[in-house]
Amino acid sequence: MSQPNPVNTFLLEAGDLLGQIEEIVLDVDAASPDPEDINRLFRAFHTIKGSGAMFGFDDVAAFTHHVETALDQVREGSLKLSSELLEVVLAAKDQIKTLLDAAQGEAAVVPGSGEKIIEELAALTGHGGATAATSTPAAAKPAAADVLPRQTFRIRFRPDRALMVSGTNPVSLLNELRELGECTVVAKTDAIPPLGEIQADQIYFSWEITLTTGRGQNAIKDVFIFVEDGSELSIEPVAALPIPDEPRKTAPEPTLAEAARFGDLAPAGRASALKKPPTKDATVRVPSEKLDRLVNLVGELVMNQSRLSQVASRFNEADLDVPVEEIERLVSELRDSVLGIRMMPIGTTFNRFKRLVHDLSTELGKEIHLVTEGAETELDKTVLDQLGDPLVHLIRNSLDHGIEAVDVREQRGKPRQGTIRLAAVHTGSNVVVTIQDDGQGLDTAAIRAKAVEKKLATPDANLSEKEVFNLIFLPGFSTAKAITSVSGRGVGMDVVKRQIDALRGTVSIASEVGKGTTISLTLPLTLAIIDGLLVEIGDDQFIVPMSVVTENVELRRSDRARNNGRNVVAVRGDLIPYIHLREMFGQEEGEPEIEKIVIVRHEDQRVGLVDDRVLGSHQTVIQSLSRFYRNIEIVSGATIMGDGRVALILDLAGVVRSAATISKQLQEISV
Amino acid sequence: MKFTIRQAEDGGPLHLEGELDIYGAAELRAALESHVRNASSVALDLSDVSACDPVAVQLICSARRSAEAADKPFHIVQISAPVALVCTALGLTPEQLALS
Amino acid sequence: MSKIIMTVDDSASMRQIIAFTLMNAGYTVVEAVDGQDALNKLTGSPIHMLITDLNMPNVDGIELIKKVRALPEYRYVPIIMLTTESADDKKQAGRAAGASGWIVKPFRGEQLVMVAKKFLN
Repeated sequence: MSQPNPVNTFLLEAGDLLGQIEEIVLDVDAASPDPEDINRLFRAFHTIKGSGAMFGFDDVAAFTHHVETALDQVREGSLKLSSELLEVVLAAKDQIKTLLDAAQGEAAVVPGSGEKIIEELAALTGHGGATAATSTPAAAKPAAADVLPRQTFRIRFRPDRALMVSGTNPVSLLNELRELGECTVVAKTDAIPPLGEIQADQIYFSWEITLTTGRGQNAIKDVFIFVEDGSELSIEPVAALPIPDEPRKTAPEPTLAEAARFGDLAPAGRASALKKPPTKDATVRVPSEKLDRLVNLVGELVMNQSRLSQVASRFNEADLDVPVEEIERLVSELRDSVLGIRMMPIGTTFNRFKRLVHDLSTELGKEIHLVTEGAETELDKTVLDQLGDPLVHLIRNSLDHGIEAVDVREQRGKPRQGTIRLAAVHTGSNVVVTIQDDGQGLDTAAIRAKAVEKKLATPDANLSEKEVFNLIFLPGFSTAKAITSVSGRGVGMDVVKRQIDALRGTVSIASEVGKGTTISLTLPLTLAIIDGLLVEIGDDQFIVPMSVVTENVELRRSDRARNNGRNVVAVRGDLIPYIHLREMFGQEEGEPEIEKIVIVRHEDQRVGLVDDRVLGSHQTVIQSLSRFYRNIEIVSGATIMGDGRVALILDLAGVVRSAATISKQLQEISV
Repeated sequence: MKFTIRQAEDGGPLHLEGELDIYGAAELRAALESHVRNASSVALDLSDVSACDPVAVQLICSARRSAEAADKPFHIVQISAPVALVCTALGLTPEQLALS
Repeated sequence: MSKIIMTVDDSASMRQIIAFTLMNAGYTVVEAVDGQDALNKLTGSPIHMLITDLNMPNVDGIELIKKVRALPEYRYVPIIMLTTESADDKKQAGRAAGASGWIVKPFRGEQLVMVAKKFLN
């Protein structure tokens, strides 16, 4: 299937138009022309000019401009049609034909022939002739990278009340500003009148926006280009802030590796005193916001590249395939390199805990030794930054509840000194961090009793060991008998679980009575980009993290009926419960005859997510959601698609939690 | 009209469902006005709003203004993701929307 | 479902390059050859944006804009006018008729996509 080449279409079209021009010129009565004939003549030249310029026939466009101008005057009545003028128009038509043929190498232009016609036209119209067609810049300028020094602007925008009436949605304008740089938008609602006085389709909002961009003031003006009339708009540069470009320091900062070695607890003075003589250019310090921006840009690049590949594959054009493949490879390398810059060794975080363990064990009168392994394991900085708190909590728990007092340990024939092992290891696209202690282990009976007492479980519940361990993640559970200053401050394991969930990680526990407890945190390497499966429900798109997807199956309406409305589907003999996303998002109507079920793994169970269509895999740049979403637990983030639409990223744990019925069915099946 | 309005008989929040946009702005204005007039306490449930534009958000702010002028408490019980998206894009805070 | 843009132009090559550019940017494109054709095709079908030439036979661009603004279902649809004249009077006439913005020919594909995104973001 080959796409018609617009240039060829233009040449055919121009041929037709030139034919029409000749026909009209030969037919028209110069003394009393039909106005519609003049209009047709004008439009023919107008189209040749406009399209000619579009397809690179600049000489044609420039030349045609003069004829068009003359005919416009005839149309408007300021110039009378005459047989002389018609002669020139005919000559101009031949000249255009020659120019077009010449462009295809089929004719040669007689030098000066065009100028001669233009002069004749000028003589007839009484205008100074050969001013070239002014090519005017289009309204929108092409996207430019940051070329100017970054500057902060304060923008005040009170739009024309009729903004939406003339087709402009302020959301688009604000989003366009957001694309220029870091942007804070504050809406003013004080001009909104009460319901009795409001004109429903007018805009009463106004905005105060602070934007830091490297694109300059003109780029901001361009955003408002179509809405300036009738709007109040002021764009003022704010006095330049010092920073973002890191000032040159006489004494270079410690490198990352050095910082890791000395840890955050090392006093700054000591760190610089112990520093090795700096190697020239060994390290460049960059503000992390710059990195974030780079990651976002790369993310967008990745998305657009995959769109490009999609489009290119439709054309089946060998000439296109090679560069597209090359771009694919380069983008993928670029992505890995950029994400690599954000990777930092976990050792920095680990080292914080040596001091913590030392101080706390002294306070508790215990002897505890911290062993760390895999300090060089790298994780995305954002993940690392958010990992500190949950790790502190888990280590405190081990110190307090896990490892026994010295005398107890001696009675049990264990070494006086307890050990906490903190380890990190790469497993594919994840990092697993384990906190292991050689303490007393979890007492399943005590946990059970506690859970029953707190009404978190029923006394007769038939729970596996693993399920009992998972009870400690429930809100309101705490096994500490007395509140110590170390743990038991009301922050329980449920908080740790939530924090790890927020990092799209998972927590698991293994424990043996008398031997110790191991808690494993499985964390994604990066939060910036995930591989997702793009699915569609009606017009809305959603992303399911690829890491949990196991397979896709079809769901026919007849299958649904067969299971008596129970939301389960048989996959190779196993009954898998499913969640109907349409119901969850309140779109009960309009489901297709055959729906798709994406089977995902959730905490050792398989669950199906029913959607209309599976669109395929999609590399997703995650945009965090604002405070509006704090109550929407089924969504963990959003991503902007190549065409500007927003797809929400499903939070699997939240989806499962929120589908109340499914959990019941999960239990029915597992029992 | 691309949206529907429900309200429990014992009062309770006004439940709006469907697309709230400029094309239905006049109807939305009328619905909000009658709710503000008749309810002793104004509450809106926007959890089933599937699409929403600035004009609709503005009418909700306007309803708040009307309710407060009549000394009636005003709050929004719940919003859907599309509403949240538009409000975020407009630079509104949950407080400005009286989101509880 | 991607956003639907109607392009109205009596020049087939212009329609083609506009359609080609917008489809590659992920939009769905409906073509109309002049204002009358556009009005015929507008009945009932969803259109998220209209891009129209100004000089066309039958119903011309300005007239088309006025007529679209009078249709209840399309009253608030963004309308972009394509013009070779940078002349202010034509632009003002289009604005007065209810156009949302304009693009001056010749333009590059990326400029067209930027303007489309400006209204459909």
